[in-house]
Amino acid sequence: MWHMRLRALFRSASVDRDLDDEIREHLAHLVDENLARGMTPAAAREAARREFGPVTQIVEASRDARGVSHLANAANDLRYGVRLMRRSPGFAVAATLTVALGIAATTAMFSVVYGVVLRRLPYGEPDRLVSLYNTTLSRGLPRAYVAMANVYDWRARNHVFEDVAALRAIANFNLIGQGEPERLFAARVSANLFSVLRVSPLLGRTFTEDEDEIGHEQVAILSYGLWQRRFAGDPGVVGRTISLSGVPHTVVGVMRPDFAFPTRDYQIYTPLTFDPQELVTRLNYSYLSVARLKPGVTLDAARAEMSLIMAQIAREHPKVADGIGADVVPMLDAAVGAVRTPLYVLLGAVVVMLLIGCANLANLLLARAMVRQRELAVRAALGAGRGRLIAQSIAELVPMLATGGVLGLVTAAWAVEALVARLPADVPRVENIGLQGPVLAAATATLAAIALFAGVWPALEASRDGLAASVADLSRGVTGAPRRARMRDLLVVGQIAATLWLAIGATLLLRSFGQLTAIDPGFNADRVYSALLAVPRSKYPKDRDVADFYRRLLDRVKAMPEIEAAGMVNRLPLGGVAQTSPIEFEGTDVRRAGGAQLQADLRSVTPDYFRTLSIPLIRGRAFTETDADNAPLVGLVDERIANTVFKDADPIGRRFRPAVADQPWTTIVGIVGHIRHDRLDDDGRPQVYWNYKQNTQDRAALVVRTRTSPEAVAQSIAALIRSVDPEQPVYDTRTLEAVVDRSVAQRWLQTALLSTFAGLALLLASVGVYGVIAYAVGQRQREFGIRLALGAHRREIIGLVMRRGATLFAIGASIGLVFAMASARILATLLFNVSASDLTSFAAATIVLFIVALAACGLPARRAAGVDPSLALRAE
Amino acid sequence: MKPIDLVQGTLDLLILKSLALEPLHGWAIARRIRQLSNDVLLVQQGSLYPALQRLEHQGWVKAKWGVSEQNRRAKYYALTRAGQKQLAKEAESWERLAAAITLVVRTT
Repeated sequence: MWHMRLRALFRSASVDRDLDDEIREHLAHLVDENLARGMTPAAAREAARREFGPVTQIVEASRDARGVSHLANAANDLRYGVRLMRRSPGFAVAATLTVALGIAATTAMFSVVYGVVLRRLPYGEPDRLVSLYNTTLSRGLPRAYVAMANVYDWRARNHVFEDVAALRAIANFNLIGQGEPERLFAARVSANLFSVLRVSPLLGRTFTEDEDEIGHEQVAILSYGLWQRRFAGDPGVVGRTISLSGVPHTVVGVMRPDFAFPTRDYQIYTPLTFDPQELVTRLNYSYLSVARLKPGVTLDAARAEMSLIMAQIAREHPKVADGIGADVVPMLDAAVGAVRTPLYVLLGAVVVMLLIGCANLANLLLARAMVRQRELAVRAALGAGRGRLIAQSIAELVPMLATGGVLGLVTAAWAVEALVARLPADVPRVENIGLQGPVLAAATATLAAIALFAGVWPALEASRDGLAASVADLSRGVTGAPRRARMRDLLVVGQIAATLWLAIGATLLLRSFGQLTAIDPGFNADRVYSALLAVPRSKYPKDRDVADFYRRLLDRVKAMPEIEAAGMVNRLPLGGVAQTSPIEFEGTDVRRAGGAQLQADLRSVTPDYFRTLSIPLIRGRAFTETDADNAPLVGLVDERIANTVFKDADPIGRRFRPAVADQPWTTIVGIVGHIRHDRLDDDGRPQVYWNYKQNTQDRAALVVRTRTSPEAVAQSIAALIRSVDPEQPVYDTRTLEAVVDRSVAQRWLQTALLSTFAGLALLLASVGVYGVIAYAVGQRQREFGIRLALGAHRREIIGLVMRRGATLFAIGASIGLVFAMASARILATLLFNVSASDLTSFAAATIVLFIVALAACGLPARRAAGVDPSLALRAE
Repeated sequence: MKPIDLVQGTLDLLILKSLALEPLHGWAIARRIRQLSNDVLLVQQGSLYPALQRLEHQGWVKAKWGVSEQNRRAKYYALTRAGQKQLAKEAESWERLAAAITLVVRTT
């Protein structure tokens, strides 16, 4: 049946020709017969035609009888659609681009949301996986690292978890041999981690329980990426020995490609060992913990159980565990919690933008439907059914939707690639982003939604009037039923409201970002280049060896002609890694006014560090090379400590020490400027400094201020470090400005994306306003002509048009403002130093939109005023 | 007696019946119907064609070009096996209908 129809469809031309032949022969038979009866040739032909009947209708009826009508109609409609596109290319291009833009933006954004936030974790039954945290609410720490002692107690006492695993995510190695020395992100993990996650290795095995014991821990599991990159995917790597920071480790396994735990940065895993003393002191909070809930156990039940256990621990160890709680968070939430809101906000913005575009499309189609109302009425009068008319309207849209959809998907693929490359390093799960099945399904659904909203609805509207109005009515030019004019106005009001909403959001983010970049971090990143290195203790066992290596390196660096100053610090400002401790000051109360102990950044620096970063020395002296390990212990504090701890007293000569265990006192010899270490948008902690010879650390950031451009020294610095020690890897090499930019990259991207969406929305909305006003002007041309003929001023005509635009704007803007106020709470979490109901932003966005709307109305208004009365009247 | 216009739907039966003897072309089918009904049934000749297309589409007849006895090109329609069955079925149901109508007409 169907294949017959299809064949009939494709063969329909030849079948039609066949039928024509047949009918011609039939008529010839009749003519012959009539001639034989003695008629004249003319009479014979006339009689034959009468006897046969109306040829055209018969051919038409025959074609219908073949059952090709539906498909043939659809094909005709499509062909008609393509023809329409060719006939009004402006409309076709506008509609296609609108669809393409909408599909590209929504698909790209949704693929990010899906990959990062929605897609399940690549572990067995991931919904039962949770991350466990210790909490110290009194110190404002809702989710902190955990202590091993607590993990042991949780394991022993809980009834809600199948198992509890632990890991230390900061355990990095220098991989030496097999090519360039390289710094590897490593995690030390408990043997049961793999069974908790329900993952298996690609090659070899995971860790055994006894490898968690000290002395058995020199084994390693490689990530798939590292295996491919450094070992060329050689399956023989299992069983081989590799050197990690100078210590030999046996490779026991290789993980699968999708294993990116805790994040994609981790490339190697070693067993988790720790000082057994930690189980007694219970003070080292530096581990992560993940657990698998037993089937059927709810999150609330697990939280309740953990609170109970922490209360027991607090009773048993009141000195160290008082006030410490625990939290249980679904693992996916723990991984993506911080980016969920901004991503949803951006997705929301992109959908709003799509709707604004759709409104334009609907408006264009409505306008076109009105122009074609007469045609529709004629068709209706000739017997076309309403369903047929609607089907035709949709079929006309199909070429544009298809072209726009394909164009949109291609653009989306490109946009996703560009976006992933620009996503800040701290966005989790980026490796999951792509145009995957569900993303494509969503894109298809979006296309269908566009077809429904922009196609079916105008078609319904048009057919309603087209069928109701008689052909005679239409010929008199009575078009634009008030109801439909109202519809178009409504669309524009909606567009203005949505655009203002987006514009306010974008303005708020822009102002917030402006505030952020205006912040003085306390150091000057101009022309500063930075490189990180970590020295292995297997090679430099004593502090003096490390300090000596640092000094040799710095001497060589400073000898380079393009270097103005060079220094080293154990933690790079805004580099994303901290080292902190509570500090006590001799002669002052350990506990500050708020009751909490003063937490400070602990810094070990070389003397020239302050000069290199332009951190001012405010009073006293800086370090010198004579502040060595055999000299009296001296230190510097920052301005903030001087002001808050010592107030009016002079801190120089006073002493401080880390308030843990028995640390020696350090004498303050100078005061330096305060810097922002963790983030630009958070003032964080004050800093205390030691000289690198008196407090020597394995990890160091080399910072150099160059005379020319910092990028120029990159090569020579790397070569220089390798010449001092060829086994020493250098990593995270970049300008300090890039480090600062990276620290605000998420905010920058949010701001840039939302501003782009708002800008596009503004463009789309201005097209919408222009379209509606221009159409209205076209409709009222005759009226304007009469008014002008009766002596109205051109200015009055302009006023008439502008007033209509202003009314639409006022209604739309009010709605938009209300929406912006209502959604302020969501946006507030993304803002820095700007209130979500910031008057300036609201006003600025409204004014910008008003100006754009004014311009969009201005053009048609001028055209209205330029109407020639005699022409306008004669046009009818 | 005036010729009777054909009742809708009976045309199919008449075409099938006229093809039962031998394959015919369109003009010949019209002539055959007229002859068989002693000039009582008038078929507007053109209306045969939609019906023929329908029957062909149903698979009851199949068509082949040939040459008529007047030495003209003509498309000959022949009954298929399915068409023969359909004829038997339609003829039977027609007889039942006709009998019923006759009954109604006579008793009122």
